[in-house]
Amino acid sequence: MQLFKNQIAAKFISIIVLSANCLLGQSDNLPENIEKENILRFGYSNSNGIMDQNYKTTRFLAIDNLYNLNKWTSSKTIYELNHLPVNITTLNFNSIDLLPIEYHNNYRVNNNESDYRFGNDQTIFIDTKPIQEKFTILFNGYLGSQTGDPLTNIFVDTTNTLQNINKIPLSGTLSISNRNEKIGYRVTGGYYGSFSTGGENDIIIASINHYYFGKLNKQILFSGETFYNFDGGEVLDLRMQFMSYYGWDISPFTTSFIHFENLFHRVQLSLKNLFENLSISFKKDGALGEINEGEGILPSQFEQSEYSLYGRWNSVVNSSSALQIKGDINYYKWNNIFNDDEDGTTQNYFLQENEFLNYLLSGTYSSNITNSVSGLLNIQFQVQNSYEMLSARIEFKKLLREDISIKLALSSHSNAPNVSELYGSYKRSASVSESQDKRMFSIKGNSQLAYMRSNKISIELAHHSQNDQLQITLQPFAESIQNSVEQKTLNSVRLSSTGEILRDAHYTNVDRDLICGTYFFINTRVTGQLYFTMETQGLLKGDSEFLPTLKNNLQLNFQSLKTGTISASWYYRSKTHWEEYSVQSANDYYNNSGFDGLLPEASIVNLFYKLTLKPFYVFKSLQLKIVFENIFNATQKYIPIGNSINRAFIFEVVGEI
Amino acid sequence: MKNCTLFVTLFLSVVITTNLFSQEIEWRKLKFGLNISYFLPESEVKEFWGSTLEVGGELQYGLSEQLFLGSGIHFSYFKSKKEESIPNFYHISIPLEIKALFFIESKIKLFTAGGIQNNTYIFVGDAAERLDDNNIESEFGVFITVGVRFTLWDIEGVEIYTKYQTVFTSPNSTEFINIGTRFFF
Repeated sequence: MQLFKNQIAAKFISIIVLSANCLLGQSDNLPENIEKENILRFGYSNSNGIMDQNYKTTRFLAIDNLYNLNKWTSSKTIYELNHLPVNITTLNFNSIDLLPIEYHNNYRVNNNESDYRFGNDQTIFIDTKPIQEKFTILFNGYLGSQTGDPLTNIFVDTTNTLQNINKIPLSGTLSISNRNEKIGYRVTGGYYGSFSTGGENDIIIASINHYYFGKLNKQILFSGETFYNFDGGEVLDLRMQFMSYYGWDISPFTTSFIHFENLFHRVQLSLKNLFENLSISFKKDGALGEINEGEGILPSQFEQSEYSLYGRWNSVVNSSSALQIKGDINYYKWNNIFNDDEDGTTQNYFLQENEFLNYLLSGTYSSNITNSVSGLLNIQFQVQNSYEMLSARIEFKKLLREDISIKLALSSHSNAPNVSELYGSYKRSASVSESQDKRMFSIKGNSQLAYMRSNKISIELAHHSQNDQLQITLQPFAESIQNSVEQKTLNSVRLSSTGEILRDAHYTNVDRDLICGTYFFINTRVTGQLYFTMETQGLLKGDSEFLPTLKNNLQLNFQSLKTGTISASWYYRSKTHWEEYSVQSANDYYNNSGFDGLLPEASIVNLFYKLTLKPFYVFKSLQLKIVFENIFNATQKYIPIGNSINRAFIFEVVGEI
Repeated sequence: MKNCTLFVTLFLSVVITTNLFSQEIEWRKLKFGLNISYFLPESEVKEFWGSTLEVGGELQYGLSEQLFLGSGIHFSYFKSKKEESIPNFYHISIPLEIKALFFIESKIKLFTAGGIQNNTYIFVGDAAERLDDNNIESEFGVFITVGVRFTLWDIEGVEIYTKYQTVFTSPNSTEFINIGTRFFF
């Protein structure tokens, strides 16, 4: 009966959207190319496609794990924000949501390998869009709600304690910019709010801290940038960016709910085109993190700072060859602010306070060997967090026809443990059952970790028709990971009072089985304004049971000049097993059944509607977006201990004045 | 969720306004109306709350002779059958619907409509105290309406309808039925 109701609901929604789509609209819209909607914060669709391992325990704070096959507790994805990497992570959150960027209007996210720069398979590039040569006001606002509020059911069923369903209160950003040939500026401010925890874990959250229970998660964004073009072609570029976080979530380090805060800032000064495409940049990144007090949790406050100097040199050797050199020097410092030695009322997040001096030297040579064959070689030497590491990548690409190419890529990439994995510490005391005294659970870093190395080979066969009617990519690959940095569970229990799973764990190195897989992508115009996109990834995953054997994303887009874009997508992910969260029945004080650590398969259908108006009164453009996410209200979880993310409605307005 | 109600109101206004102004402005296609209906809770809800009246304002834009886009805001007050333990609540709904007319050559037309609706509940009374500050909550639902439409005196559109709505509550969805009339001027 419930399924029938859901189907009825979905049909109505479809009818409404389709009808509105056919009827609304105007006649002077500009044609658009097919695009992947970039609503990262909504989780509707990721701009990077299904190749991401987007782990998240709530609707927000997705842990981006790009191309590589790491566990969510140790994501090795690297963000390059305006060409400079972000090395600081708080509580091992490797999430775009914690970066000081306004991606609705002013930033673009790109991990397309064809835009290969100094990065590797694990790098996501985030760049500001150019400032327009006119006074411009850009804004966006959104609001939504996950369905499933109990409302009258609280009183109909007195055992019902659900109260804290995901909600997305009014959030938005505003930016003002202008420029001329010599000078320009852009100022951006924003606020994001969410009730992110969902009702599933209300009892757990309320038991940790009743004061913060039900409090809104909040983020405040501020950034300013300016540049000056010198007569000789040099560009001086200054940016200051800030992003805060205040709220509940399960962090990848603590792997249990905490209420925490984070203040991240970046100051970046760049001098570009000093001579022959040489650019020099200075940046200071800083993050102040705090775990707030809870039942059995002592508060901790800690900070990380980084001062870096970067050199980038792009040299055209000749008409068919180019050389890119980069060198980095980086001073990294971390320390606790609270000190648990004072009176035992706080805890240290870092077991050791120290500093690192890091270096990196990288060279990339690319060349057109013949008219149809090109090659690329990248070698990188790095001293990071006291680890000396060498990485390399080599690529050959041959055009079989004008529209068909084959590319062979071999890479060996090394990655050092970060300071949380080396020196992090989190302690929590709890009574596992009413009859037992409190005991301590701890997550600890490991200063003896070796650095990780991943070796990968891939062959990519690509077809891209010249009229953009058809794009096909087929990419078989194999990857081995040595010394994978992972949390190893020593002991896990489920508490009798709340059902919360707590673990004793520490970071360690693990050699994993070879992983082989195939990625397939097709994007084609079916007919007229109807486009079809499919991404599929199949894996022979060996002992990496936390990876899905199959991920699939199908999308139909109908684009019209008059009526905007309507999309329907189906996402499928096969079930996975997370052994580290399994609980033996003897340690399950909640219902003695044990927990198998299984993450069930996900089969999610989404609908999306976007209407673009150009121009609309004072607006140069105005976009209205409606997202119907998970319309059949299927079970959707990203890790076994996280919340279910259910059917949601989200409305967004994006505009330019 | 007060913000949600506000935003949905704004959003629906923007959608309708956008539709109006993105094309040639035809004010004659915009109709205002009044609504009064008998509001019946279904499923388990009717065990604890009785039926009530719902009143509100309507906004309707004619997309063609047969198709209309509509919205509005409706108010009602549900009185509890057990006030000592079950609170009374105000119900505010904001629908967005698409409506199709049939037999348009006839004086009496049939119509059906479907849409999405934001429902806000404001629990009041002593029994609502257990909710502390969370006595205002909102949830979306979808609905279907069928009815007849005719002209009466100078009133261009008089509608008699019945509407079935399911609200996406948890753990079980809740259902409501409206039987009422609307007048468009």
